[in-house]
Amino acid sequence: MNILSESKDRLNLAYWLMGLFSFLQIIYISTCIFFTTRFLLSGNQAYSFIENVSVIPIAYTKRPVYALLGFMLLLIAMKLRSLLEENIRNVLFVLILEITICLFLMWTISFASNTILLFVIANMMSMTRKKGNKGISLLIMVILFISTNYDIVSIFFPVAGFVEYLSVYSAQAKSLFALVNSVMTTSCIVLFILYMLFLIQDQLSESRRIQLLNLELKDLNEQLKEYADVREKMGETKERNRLAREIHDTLGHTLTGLSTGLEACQTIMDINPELAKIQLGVLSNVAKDGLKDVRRSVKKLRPDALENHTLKEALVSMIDEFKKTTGVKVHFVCHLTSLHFQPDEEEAIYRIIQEGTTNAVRHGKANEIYISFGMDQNTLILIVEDNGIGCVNVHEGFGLHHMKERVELLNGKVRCYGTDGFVLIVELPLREEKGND
Amino acid sequence: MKNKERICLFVIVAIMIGSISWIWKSKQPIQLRIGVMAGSYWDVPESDSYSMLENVIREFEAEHPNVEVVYQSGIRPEEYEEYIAKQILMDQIPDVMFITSDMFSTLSKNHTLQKLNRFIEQDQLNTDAYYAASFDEGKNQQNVYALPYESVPRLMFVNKSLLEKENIDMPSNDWTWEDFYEICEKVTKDSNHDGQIDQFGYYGYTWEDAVYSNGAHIYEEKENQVSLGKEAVIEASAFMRELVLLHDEKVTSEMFDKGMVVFCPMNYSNYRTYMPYPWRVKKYSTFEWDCITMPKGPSGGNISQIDTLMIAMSSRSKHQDLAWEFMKKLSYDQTYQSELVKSSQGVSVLKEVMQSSDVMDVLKLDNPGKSTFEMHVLHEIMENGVAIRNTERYKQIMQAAQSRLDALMQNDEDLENALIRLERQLNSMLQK
Repeated sequence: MNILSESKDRLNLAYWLMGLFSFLQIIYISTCIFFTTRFLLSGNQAYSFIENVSVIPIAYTKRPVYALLGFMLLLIAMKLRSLLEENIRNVLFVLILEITICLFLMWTISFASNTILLFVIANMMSMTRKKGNKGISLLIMVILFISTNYDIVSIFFPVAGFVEYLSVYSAQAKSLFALVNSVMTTSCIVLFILYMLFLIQDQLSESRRIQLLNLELKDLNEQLKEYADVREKMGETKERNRLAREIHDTLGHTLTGLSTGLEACQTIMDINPELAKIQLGVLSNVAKDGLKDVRRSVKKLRPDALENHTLKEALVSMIDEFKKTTGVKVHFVCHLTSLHFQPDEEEAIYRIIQEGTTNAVRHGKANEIYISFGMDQNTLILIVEDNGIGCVNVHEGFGLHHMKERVELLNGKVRCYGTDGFVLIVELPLREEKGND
Repeated sequence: MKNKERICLFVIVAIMIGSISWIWKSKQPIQLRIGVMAGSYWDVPESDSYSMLENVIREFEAEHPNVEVVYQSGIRPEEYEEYIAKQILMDQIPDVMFITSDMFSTLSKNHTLQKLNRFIEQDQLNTDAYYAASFDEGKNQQNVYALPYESVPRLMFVNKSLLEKENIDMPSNDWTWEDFYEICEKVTKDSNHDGQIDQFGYYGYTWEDAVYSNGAHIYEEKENQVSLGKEAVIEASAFMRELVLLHDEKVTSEMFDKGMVVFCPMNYSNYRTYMPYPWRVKKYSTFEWDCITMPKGPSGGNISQIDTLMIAMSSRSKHQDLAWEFMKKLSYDQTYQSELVKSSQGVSVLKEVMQSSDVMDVLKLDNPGKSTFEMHVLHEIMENGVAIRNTERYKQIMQAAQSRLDALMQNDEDLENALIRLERQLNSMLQK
């Protein structure tokens, strides 16, 4: 009972029992033929036997030898199947080798049994991994199994059949010999069915196990996603807090001071206009300082790339990175001598290009993007063009809306066309260069 | 590198061992085994059955110094089939074997015998030198499986004493059914007036004899069809019916032996055996007898059935070319075939031998003067004869038809209808 519970062991047991039975059957038939021929040679029935068979039989002394030899060759061929790498050439080679040996074996026993094929099929089913190879091999073997039945073979191919050998005996002896043979055949078939049953069971439990593992993996994946979301939210909150603190520390402080100072000025304006004037001067300085602080804070919020590099460098590195990550071809054409603008303008330009290229890939599925800078009098003209699918009615998403807002703040204009790819044109009037304040 | 060297060495050693064993084997004398029976296949006594074979072997071994021809002696004809069958089972089929017409169909069907078409084409063997009836015996569906060795035609034995007593002349060799019937009718009577008929016309003349001598065939092997509805068969059946009516009583072979019957078909081998001394004294000593051809039917001829002993080659033989040479010597060599006619009880299967005056002279010498049978008629009989077919199919057909035919000869049913019905029955049996 213990053996049967272990799936690997019961599979092996069924397999080797089947091999043993088919081997015993071959030996049984060949020895039966051997002794029947001896019996014929000692009696007077040889000619009537020869008259009944449609072909001269194989020499009776050679049959058992052939049977043993053939079986050993078959075992070697089956071993070869497990040793060779599984590709279509090797599979075919082994299959043809096995079929040849099986046909030889069946020929030596006058096609009285073809259960040896079941043994080979069982071996093939457990050794072959690829579904296609398995299917073709199985089909060939099954056709062979059906067509090597004695009744079918003897129609096309003259055989000195086992039945004819048995016909020299009395009816009782004949049926006894035939009975033993058919019991062996039946046991082989039963063992084969058992083997296949075990094999299918094993495969089913294996696939169930894989399914369970898959489910677990999916769970873990989702957990990971949730965690990532939490991380993002936390980052956002942190950033918001920083902004709030920054505003509170700088603007809050300055505005509080200003409002208190202005209130004081209001009160002393009529009493002491001179002092109010001085006070206003002080307040003006405070406001200027506050502005500086605000500028400094805003500067902190600028994109990292612009922080330490010029716009050109930042753009080039961004485009490079974009090319690398998306695989899209980006052509960058600049008709300007220098790309040096006000920080807020630079930021706007940077963001526009970032947003434009991202949209081209995300919505337009483009694989080529043209970016060009041009100057018309005092207006910077920025064109981002792609070869993607475009869109007839431009639906303004958050990104585009944000971009428009940003540009309008700088008194610029945004136009876009989606009929042939997607074209984004931005006009940005440049302010006069003022000193660095 | 080391592995490669080892493999090379192994291959060289293998080649050396192979070539040495091949040379050694080719130096060994080749054994050519012959399957042959002792005594005469024709069921007549024969004194020295191996002398002719020994002569052939001696010459053959002289021509091929490396060959040794062996045979197992003492196998009687009735054991011969069994002997060959056992050799087959033991996978020791003789390279060359004698084959009777009975065995031929079985052995050619189960591939014991080698097809000879290739050898015949190679040697451009003139198969027209053989009598067609003899040569056809060794054919199965256009394939030649055996060469003829010795033939025996069926002849009509005549009780000359009885004819003389009734003042009837010996019929000539181109006699007809009418002559046959007339004589039978004349002699059938109660000669000593004791109320019982004691003289009869014929014994053993069969429906098949009548059909063949009227130029018809019963079974077409190629189409696997029986044809009984033909005019010639109906004629032969009508003639047989008349003959049967002549005898009320059953005639037996003892009656012929006692001299009470005029005609009895027998094989030539009987004539050859019992005509010369000493056998002449042993059998048919109470009356004078002789042979003539079979009577001729209105649309046929003086046609005899011819049985042939053949020689064939084993399909498993390893020395088929030598076997073929040996077979040719036995079958195709005029010297040996002449010797065969002189010493054996059969007829040569070669036309030229049977036409040679030398052979005829020897045959005549063997006969003690009184026989009027002219040997040159043998040639005509062989030319016109038909090969008997002892195939399993043929035997089956005749077995199935016999009782119906017997009944038909006794009653007065319409022959044509009855025969056509029988033909249909037999054909549907053959289809199964």
